[in-house]
Amino acid sequence: MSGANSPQGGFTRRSFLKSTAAVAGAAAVAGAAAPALTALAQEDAAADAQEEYTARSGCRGNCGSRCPLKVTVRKGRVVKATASDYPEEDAHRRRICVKGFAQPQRVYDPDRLKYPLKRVEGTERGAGEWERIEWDDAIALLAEKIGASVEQYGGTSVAFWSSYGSYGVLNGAMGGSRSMAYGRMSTALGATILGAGADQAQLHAQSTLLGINGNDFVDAANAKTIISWGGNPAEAYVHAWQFVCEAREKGAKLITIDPQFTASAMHSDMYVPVRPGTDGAMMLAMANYIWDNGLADEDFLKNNTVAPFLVKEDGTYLHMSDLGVPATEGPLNAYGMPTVIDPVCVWDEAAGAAVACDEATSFALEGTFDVQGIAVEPCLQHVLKSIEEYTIDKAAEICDVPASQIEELARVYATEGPVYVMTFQGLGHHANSHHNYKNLALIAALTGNAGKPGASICGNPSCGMLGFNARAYMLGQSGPSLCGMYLPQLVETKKWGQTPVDIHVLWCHNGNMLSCESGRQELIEAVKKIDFVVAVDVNMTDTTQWADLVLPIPHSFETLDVDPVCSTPYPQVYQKVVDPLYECKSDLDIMRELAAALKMDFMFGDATDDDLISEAIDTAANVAGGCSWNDLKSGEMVRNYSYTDASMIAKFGTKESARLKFYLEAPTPRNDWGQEVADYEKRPYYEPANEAYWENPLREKYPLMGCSEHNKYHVHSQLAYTPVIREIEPEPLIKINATDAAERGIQQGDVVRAYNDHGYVVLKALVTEGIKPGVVSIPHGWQADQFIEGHAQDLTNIYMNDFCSNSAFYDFLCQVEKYEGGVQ
Amino acid sequence: MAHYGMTIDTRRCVGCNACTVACKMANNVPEGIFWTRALTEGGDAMDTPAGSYPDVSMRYVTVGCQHCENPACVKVCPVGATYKDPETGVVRQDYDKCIGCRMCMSACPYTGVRSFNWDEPSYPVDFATGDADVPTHQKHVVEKCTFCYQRITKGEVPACMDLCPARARHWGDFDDPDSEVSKLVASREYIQLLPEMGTKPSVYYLV
Repeated sequence: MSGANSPQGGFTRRSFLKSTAAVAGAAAVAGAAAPALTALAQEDAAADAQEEYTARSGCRGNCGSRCPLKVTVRKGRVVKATASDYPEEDAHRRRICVKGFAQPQRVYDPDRLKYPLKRVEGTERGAGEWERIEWDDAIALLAEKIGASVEQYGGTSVAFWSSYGSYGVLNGAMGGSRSMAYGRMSTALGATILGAGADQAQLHAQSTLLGINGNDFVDAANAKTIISWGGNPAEAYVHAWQFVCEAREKGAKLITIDPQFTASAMHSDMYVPVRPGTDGAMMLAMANYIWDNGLADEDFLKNNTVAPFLVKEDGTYLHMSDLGVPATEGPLNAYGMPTVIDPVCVWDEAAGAAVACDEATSFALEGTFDVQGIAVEPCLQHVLKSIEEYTIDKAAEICDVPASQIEELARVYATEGPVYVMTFQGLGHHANSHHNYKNLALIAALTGNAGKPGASICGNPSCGMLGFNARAYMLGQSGPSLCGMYLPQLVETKKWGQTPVDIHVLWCHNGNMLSCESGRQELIEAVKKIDFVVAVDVNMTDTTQWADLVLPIPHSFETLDVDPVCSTPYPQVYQKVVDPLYECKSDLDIMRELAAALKMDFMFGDATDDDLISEAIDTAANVAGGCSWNDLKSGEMVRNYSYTDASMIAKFGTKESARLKFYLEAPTPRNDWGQEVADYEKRPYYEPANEAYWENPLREKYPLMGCSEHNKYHVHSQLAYTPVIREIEPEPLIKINATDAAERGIQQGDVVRAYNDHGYVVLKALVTEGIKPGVVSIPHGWQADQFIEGHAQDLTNIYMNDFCSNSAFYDFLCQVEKYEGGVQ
Repeated sequence: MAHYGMTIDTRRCVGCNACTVACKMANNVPEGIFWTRALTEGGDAMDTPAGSYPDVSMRYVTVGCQHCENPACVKVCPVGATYKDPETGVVRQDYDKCIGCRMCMSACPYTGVRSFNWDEPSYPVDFATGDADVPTHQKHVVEKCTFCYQRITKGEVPACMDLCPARARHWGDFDDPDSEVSKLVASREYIQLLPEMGTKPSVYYLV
């Protein structure tokens, strides 16, 4: 019977009646007990209500959304999470998804780490044999290993390896190490920083080099055409979807370009079934079609883009210094570094001469010019000449899409604007991906589909960032900072460029790299070669499994933090909603104890969490803008003062520095160790992917092109075991087209083995017409023990394009066969 | 007096199951049971389309109790445990009266919206999640969506309405011609599930 004392809830009427009946029986002897019990029940209810409170926290883990959550606690336990209410002006931004609603269960996930764990002496790393140890012993062990390593091999022998787990000021890892915990420790030690490989094609090429952010997703409602290009707003970033709907209800067209028939595709007016990794060729063909058919927006090209910049034969711009006007010193940049002013020239048609862009009145887009003996031509012409071979027909062949469809796409893109393109990270997971972003910028420049309401090259996943004092994170300089995917190379060569880096201690945090980066088997082999590995996480993961020491940290509801990145215009505040479960300690508390053990107390002194956040957040501007830590810590929704209506639309001006770039005069690699940078990195370009391209002879052995997806039920590897989520999606499935399945005798739900030279995975098949023939997809985020054998990331490889150092998750070929091995 | 109901815009719905989990968490619904869930209209498995690639189509339909105006379940309940609440139009289920005969389950044409707790309900955590005033789930009792009766009697919306990421769901009083749901049904094309059964559902799917 579910009684009054059931842990599963309140007082049922039946149980109450049964109880009172029993007591009434006794009351016949003992007197007026029944009324007393009624009163007691009422008191219980009142007490329960008093024991309930709500606080502000959020979904932590980078799907990019940073949804603020109102968390309800009853009798000390998290019982409910719902979307925080936004102030009236931003009520439409209120957001949550299946993952946010499930957070109360995630707090109590069965795979939560409870205590410090040490690998059992004499067992292999990764064997899963653990012994519980005391925190004091764990800290002593850490201090001993780190102390000895620094003393013997120098600070760079300690490496901190992270991904995008959190950008929290106290415990996170923005840019690999920026937080109080990791910034101070890594700079005090001079440690090596190993950052994420995921998403760097977009981050490096589009955000960093081209400086393109795109419009607020809210602005998608103003579009006449929305192109979901590799992106999938309906599932992968569902908060953008309502604005797509709004636009559609006003008559906008939705186009999806994707090898998978997603929920976005389902709602689309046009579906372009592109072959994975070939989108760049389609973009270049569109550019040619638009220019050749007179569909270009010449005013925008001339006034708001780099199209008229004069390019010399060596591919660099013609600067005034080339014409004898010396460069001058500019103001210090945001990082306090000196700048140089050396204006770029355009051909001013009115003047019939090359003049500085900012001085010109009419801009030539075509022609070849001789300027003081230097041969130059406008950037657009230079670029168009280099991509001539990408005709519609050629792209149709490369992309395996009908030529008529690419033509239609180009026509719609040029004539049915404003066009809002949503890519998210879907275009960024092949070794050739970073070119896509230059190509997208080119077609936007050609058509003016950028920098206007409804016109955007990509959706901006952040509404700016609250400024913070990054120096508060630093107590000196860290060692080299590079992509963690170079770990195997570092372990092998023991140097980075010319700098010796001999890693003896590896500290994994803020990420589950051995589940979420590509080339898992090669990464594991590198990790195995390191003397001592420590991993801190909320849950036991594919990464913690390979450590010698595992330390439990709190769920986001159990620890105070603040994330300055504003996914909506509100900085993400994590109040400590409940005390940490079990013996969990925050990353920062671990660092405090470690600092003390290393006799480096100066690192944090007596500063409390509040003090440290204040040190980072309370810049003069934030305090003046009403975004001090004191303002934020209340948990009220406090708007980032620096985000205004004007910030919603990316702006491209007429001044040289404000123009839309699709060309990079001096392309710099993300991680520079002296490697050569190819000339084509400057310009819109297409090259086949590394492994997953149709003509690859390897396809004779492994005919299927790999793929994955930002699945609606995972935030990377978070929620891997959360019960309510796993009830909906119990196990990983490999999507395979019905034709490919039939050829292999595979039926719905059959156990199959996908394999290639990198590794294999055994799992069930989802036979579907929802994926392009010749392509298979496994959603990412599942943990090793959730596959029957192997791992999805065992199919991927470590190869990265050295220009952007990007994990190329989709860039693999494989074969799939019905699994004949024994399955329990 | 009111006639509460919902409209669900299939032109917005993306089958994200936020409503599914919001409902499950708010009502502390036991393991193995969903009071509402997103069904795929398309291929033979969840999230798969009908047709032949790339000429394929798919639609999501979120299905829970339809809170019919003419509920088949009410007529067959021998003990009056299933009844139509005159104040709200909500088809309710009195756990304490239910004798577990499951006549309502066989009478209801909407498969899967009701469930029977053969065993003591089980949960992933050892305490109740969700709203404090959700009735305790019981063994040998039929249960289903309550339109979050505990919420609507306080003037709040059902959990599945809070918050649909696609803004596909609308909730309101069909007796009030000015309510959003009345206006949507008046202005938009819609379908209802199994209209031929004569149950007159209070859930309208905008198409």
